[in-house]
Amino acid sequence: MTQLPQILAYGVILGIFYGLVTIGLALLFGVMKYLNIAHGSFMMIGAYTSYWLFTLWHVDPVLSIPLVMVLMFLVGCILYKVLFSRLSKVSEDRRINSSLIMTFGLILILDNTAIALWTTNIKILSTSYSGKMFELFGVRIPLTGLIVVGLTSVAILALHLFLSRTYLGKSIRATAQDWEAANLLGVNIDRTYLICCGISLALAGLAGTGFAIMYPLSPDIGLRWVLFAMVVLVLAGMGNIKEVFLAGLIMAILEQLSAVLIGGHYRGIASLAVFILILVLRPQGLFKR
Amino acid sequence: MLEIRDIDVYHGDLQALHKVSVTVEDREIVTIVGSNGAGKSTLLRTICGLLKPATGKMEFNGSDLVEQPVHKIVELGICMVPEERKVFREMTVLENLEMGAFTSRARQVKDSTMCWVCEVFPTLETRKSQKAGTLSGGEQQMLLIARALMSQPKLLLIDELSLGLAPLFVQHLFETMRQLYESTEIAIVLVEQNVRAALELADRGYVIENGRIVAQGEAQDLLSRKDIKDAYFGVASQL
Repeated sequence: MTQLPQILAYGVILGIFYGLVTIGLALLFGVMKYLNIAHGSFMMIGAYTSYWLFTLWHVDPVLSIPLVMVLMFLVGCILYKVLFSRLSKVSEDRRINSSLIMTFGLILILDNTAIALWTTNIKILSTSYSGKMFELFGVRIPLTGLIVVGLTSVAILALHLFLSRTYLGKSIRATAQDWEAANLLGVNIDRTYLICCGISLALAGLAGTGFAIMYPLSPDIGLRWVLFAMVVLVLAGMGNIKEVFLAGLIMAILEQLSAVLIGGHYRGIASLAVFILILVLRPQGLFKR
Repeated sequence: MLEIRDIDVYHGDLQALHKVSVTVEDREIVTIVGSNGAGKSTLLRTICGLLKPATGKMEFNGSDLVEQPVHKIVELGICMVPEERKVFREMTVLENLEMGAFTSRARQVKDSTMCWVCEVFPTLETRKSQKAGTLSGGEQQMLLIARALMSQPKLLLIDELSLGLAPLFVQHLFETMRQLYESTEIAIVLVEQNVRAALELADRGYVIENGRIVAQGEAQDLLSRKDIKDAYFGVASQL
């Protein structure tokens, strides 16, 4: 199987990107127990923001990241204040249903607005490094993929340091585990949720920029990719945050392997098959809570 | 220090507390005793802000408590250890203690508080890097009290200190409470089902039944009252 290293290389790049797409969703669910299925649509908005910054003002997508993330953070705060805060009175086990309905409505609004503004025609963000490949140990790696892997690594490191070394980060982890206990120690739960929502959408924005660097854009990518993110989330175990990268890697490598064995057309089926298998055999996810 | 006057508290449509009045002075141990479901936990949850009274007044060192959110009440200096063992299971003992010092007032003196807390509870020192969820029930209870102490409370509210713990360990905890009382300026409100042990530790006590205060006074006086002995101390007290 001489193709194996090549398959693994693509699998690793895709898997890390799956992790990046999912991490914001996992954070929001892990801390607040809201399931934001509009997460993909927010990623789509981040992607289009980078696209227009590049097309209109020649801002390289990598350089656009700070702006996109700050903008999306603010959007996340507004989203919390206007919509999500209404749900904080609901008990934690009932929040999934309410948030699903609410964010499904958001998908319709966001995706259709994007179609109205930017049409369904595919847009491609072409930089000087798009399409360039290079060879490492006989394996061909797309430069864009490497850049996204680099960006993701920086993001994971920053998130890890934030959650483990700062008081705000620790209070977010504490709130995720027991909000009432955190509240009784002086944590302002409302403000913590607000910040969490901002961070979740900022990560969606980062994933969007990464997407724009690697793939063609259209308004439907949100819905398609949030499904992938949901599978990765369930695979990692709902509520787990760091494990989404490992889960993403496993899923991507399985997908790539099955594409070779069964045929490229059936790639989408592979991930859905994995999803169903996990739900049947180990619904709590691969990794312990 | 703490003044509660004539509060009514409801759980939905059900009235849990009827015109309850309680005071706590500086540097004293007050115990609130009564049987299961009498309203003791409801009272503590109301003081720390998780529940709001429908009527009545609550003041702490001159500040009104009724309108304040929970996290602001903690900043004023009230800290509660709830009945359920609510350690942050996935965080280490050290991180749990650090979270105790979350308020800005407590964070400034975090390191010296941490040293003191480790002297009071040496077992926690040895388990610093362990995940809190792996500790035994008694150790988790110690961690909860230590964590509450990290917030530099002026008033410590403890709900059911002894519940589910081995008797020898409960004795140890009660002795620790006495040490705290003697060496610090903290006022403690202890809610207990173990009426005799609580009254032996405390300065003053209140007895709650069906959401109403039915007896109050010096702990020693309450201990010797016949009606309280009959209601709460069981057959052995007749001998």
